[in-house]
Amino acid sequence: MSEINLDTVKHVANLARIEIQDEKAAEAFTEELDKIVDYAHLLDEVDLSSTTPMFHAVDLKNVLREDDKQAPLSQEEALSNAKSTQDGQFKVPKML
Amino acid sequence: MNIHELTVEALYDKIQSKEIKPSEVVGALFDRIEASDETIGSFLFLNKEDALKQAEALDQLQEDDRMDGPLFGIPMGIKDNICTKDILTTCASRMLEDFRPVYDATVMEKLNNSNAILMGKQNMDEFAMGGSTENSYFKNVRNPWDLDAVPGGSSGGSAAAVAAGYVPFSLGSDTGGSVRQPAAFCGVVGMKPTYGRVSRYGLVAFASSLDQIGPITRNVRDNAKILGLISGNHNKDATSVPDRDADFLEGINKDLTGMKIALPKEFIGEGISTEVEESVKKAAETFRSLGATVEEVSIPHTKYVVSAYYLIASSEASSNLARFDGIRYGYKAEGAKTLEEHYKKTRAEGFGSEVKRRILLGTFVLSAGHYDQHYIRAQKLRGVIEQEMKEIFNEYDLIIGPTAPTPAYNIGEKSDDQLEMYKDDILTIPANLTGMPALSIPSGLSASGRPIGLQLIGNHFDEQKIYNAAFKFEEQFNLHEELKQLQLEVR
Amino acid sequence: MHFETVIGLEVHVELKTNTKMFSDAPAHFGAEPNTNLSVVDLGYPGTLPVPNKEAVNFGMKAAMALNMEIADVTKFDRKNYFYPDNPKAYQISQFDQPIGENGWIEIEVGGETKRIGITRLHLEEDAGKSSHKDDYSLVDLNRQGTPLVEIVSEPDIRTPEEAYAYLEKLKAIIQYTGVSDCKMEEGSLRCDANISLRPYGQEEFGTKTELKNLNSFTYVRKGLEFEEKRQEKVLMKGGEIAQETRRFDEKTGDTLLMRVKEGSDDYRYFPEPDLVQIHIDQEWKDRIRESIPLLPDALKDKYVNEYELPAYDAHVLTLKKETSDFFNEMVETHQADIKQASNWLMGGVNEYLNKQQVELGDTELTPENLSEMIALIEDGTISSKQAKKVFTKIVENGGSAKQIVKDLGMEQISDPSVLTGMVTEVLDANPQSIEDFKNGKDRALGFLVGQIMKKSKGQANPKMVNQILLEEIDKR
Repeated sequence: MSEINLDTVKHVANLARIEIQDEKAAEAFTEELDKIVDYAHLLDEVDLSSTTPMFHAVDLKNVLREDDKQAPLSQEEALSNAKSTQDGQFKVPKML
Repeated sequence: MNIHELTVEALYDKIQSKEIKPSEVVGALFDRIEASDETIGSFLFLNKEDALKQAEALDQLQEDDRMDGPLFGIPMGIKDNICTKDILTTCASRMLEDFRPVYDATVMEKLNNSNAILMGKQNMDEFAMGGSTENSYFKNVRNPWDLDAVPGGSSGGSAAAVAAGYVPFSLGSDTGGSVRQPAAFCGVVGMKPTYGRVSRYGLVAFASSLDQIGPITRNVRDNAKILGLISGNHNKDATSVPDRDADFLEGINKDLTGMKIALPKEFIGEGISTEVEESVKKAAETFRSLGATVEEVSIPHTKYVVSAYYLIASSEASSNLARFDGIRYGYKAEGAKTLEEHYKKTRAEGFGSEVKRRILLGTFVLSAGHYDQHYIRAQKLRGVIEQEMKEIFNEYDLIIGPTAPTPAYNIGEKSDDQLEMYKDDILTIPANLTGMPALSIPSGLSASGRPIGLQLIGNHFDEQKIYNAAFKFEEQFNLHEELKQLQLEVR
Repeated sequence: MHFETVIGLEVHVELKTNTKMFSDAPAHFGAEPNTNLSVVDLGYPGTLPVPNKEAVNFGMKAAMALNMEIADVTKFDRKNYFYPDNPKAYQISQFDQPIGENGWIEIEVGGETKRIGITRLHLEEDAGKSSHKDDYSLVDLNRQGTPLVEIVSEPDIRTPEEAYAYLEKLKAIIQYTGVSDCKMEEGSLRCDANISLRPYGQEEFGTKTELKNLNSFTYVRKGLEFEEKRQEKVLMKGGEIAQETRRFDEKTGDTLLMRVKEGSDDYRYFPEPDLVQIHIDQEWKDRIRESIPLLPDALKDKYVNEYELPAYDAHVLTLKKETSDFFNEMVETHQADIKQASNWLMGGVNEYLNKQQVELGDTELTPENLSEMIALIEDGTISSKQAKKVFTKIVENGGSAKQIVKDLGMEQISDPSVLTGMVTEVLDANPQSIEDFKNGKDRALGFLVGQIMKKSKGQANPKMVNQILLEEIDKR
């Protein structure tokens, strides 16, 4: 049984907030992702029961910062790349 | 004297001896870029006005004998996913088409302080996702060795520009081979340093636990010099390692007698082209002739690294690229009535299909019910590979193998089959998964005249050993003359 | 059928650090929107988080004060969701290895002490704020990145009253540690409540609803009371409770449906790849533990056992750190009489604060001037009646109590030679009263005292007047 179907792709696209134009595009993504995930199942044959996950490429710990303030950006800088602003704030379509 | 043929070190010496002025260097290189980069496509943006201004200022300092900075007057090209203050940083994406960072990446601060001159920002696969630079939103890059061939990717623009003589060095980024593979395809030298050696602050993240910035140069010495200048602990990157000795030029000329080199049989097995395999075997002979021993070893789990890599990298990418929502910066879709619609349209229109594919894949991998099965298992495999490679490094100084299974292929040849392209990353991925340093150096030319790259992988922080072996190898084989001969066709 | 109420509380507390959780921008901000941001807070491409050590210390301190086990190894995770006030589209939080687990606090309700378990305390970053207009919204990211701890209780709370007591106690403890102001009105303490009902005797929990927009402890209690009744009504009618989020309406005291929860939200948590693990060794833990001052319960014990204050007084004095700090300074630094200091804080001071709706820190009162005033009462310089006038002055205008007494001309006449003069005069004028007193008529003495007080315009020190009067009568 394939792990990826049209519904999975639509669900995942919704989670990722990416609109998929039409059914054809959704089907194409389904096919491509299915192939990739299917290939990833190659991993299933490896016994990893006694292995711990390696989340980092280097062995570091306790990298922390002192609580010292730096000057913040100006409001103008903070908004400089925004397409839509009002009253010094970012303007977005109404939230439901 | 052809300025575009000069290495970083040669240019530096000629500027220091006042043989040439920084403005002459910059002017000559812009002439060359403008003559042929319309064909090559390596630059997305030329920083001409600022570069010329800076060069003139440096001219004055040269005249006044105040030539400070280890890269005084040296031109550079920077991959367009490295933030440059007030200068376009697009990641070759529609999403960031007009994005001007309000800050410099750490590496930019370092290079600017070295008095290097930024020539422009270089083309790449969108958000560094790809292996041929065919995923750039703006344009393709052609391989200067053969205009029908891809330059590799994702740092295709950076490698092509160095090969084409547009800049003596570039910075690229490497998440699964994105510095080394284009370096191999373009016949230049590319390094992915130990994870944490170079600050990632200001590198637009693709996969945070795998990304590293690395130099692309025409020879090994230049590469060692540039890496030395950009490495070092930085307090704005919590994965940056404590400072340690970073003079990679020291000992670069050491005799290789007694050096133990491992050649994993999985690196020259199935899927590797005969030409590439031959080239690696020849390289092994070269090392033997230099006094090193080369023995076959095994990294049994090699065949699983592509799966693990794409699960991990896509997961991290799905989260890292979620911030692109058109609110604070970047592309914003017009006419959205609701917030939901705004997000979905902006991200659908702003991202290209490969980026979307990986975001969807990563979102799937992290989603409820799949996380343990896919994400955790992939991270476990990462540990297995590290273990196997560490064991090799208990006995050997370096691991060698090809950088890519084949020389550069034609533009359009593979772009329809993502999975096949993903599989090509099998040789470069282990260094990213383990955080180990790895360098690609030219080791031959295919029958059709396309470069072949040799990869040297070291244990964590063993960049010096890699540079030493690569430098000695380069004395035996290099493409320096061929690089000078490259005739860039103007189309 | 009778139902048992099950309540669990999630409390967010902002930590009082100089800088943000993961950036070096200031964590405290003024009115201008988007003016205390670094590129990290804006979620700019290429930026990276670096954890604030002080925030980790503060989180640990709070967890220890709540009797929690501190992790030996803790880490951060990404919680992924899209919202305009969440600029990276993920919040850096802690998922499976929080800094603190398995704590508890004790509350008192109806004279009974009850222990409420605390499941976990974790560190995270706050989000920005959005304000909603007619057909668009505006986003101010100033609050983005402020360090927070989230404190999740066990479902041990059984009544809205207990929930109220839990919050009061939690707030007091956190305030005592000094890591947060815990001001709900300023948003530095926020609370969401989960509530469900089950038939008595049933082990399994009923379906819960989550209450939001609870902007004061009183609203928490009111919202839970409403929700308890609402759920009971539904269940009594044989209906089912839907798993939903409900909003408390401050005007009506009702709870209104916000959204129905479909399964659990898929936040796609995974370990934050930009941050490495934090290992907390014993030495670090010890260092933080030593920095924790006496907490309310311990202080209460001290007041009862060492200072011999009634349990109730000790309780009231330790409700707020501000109060007990004030009291301690009066007693320890300014040697104020313990009983008097306590009486004044619980009485006059408290009355004033309630009437004016202000905090101790908003007044001009200091441990020094209040102690000074008490000393003036003690040594008889002023009467308790006069003290009330003096108190009004110092609480509003501050300054030294002695000076005010002097300015108001309130000083009692305590000079023995002056008093003896007055006594002699009065005695000379009233020989009959001396006779009466000597014949056993005590009332005569009262009359004489009255005459002396009249002569001194009420300023004679009554104690001394009594003493000198008796001495002088003896002499005659």
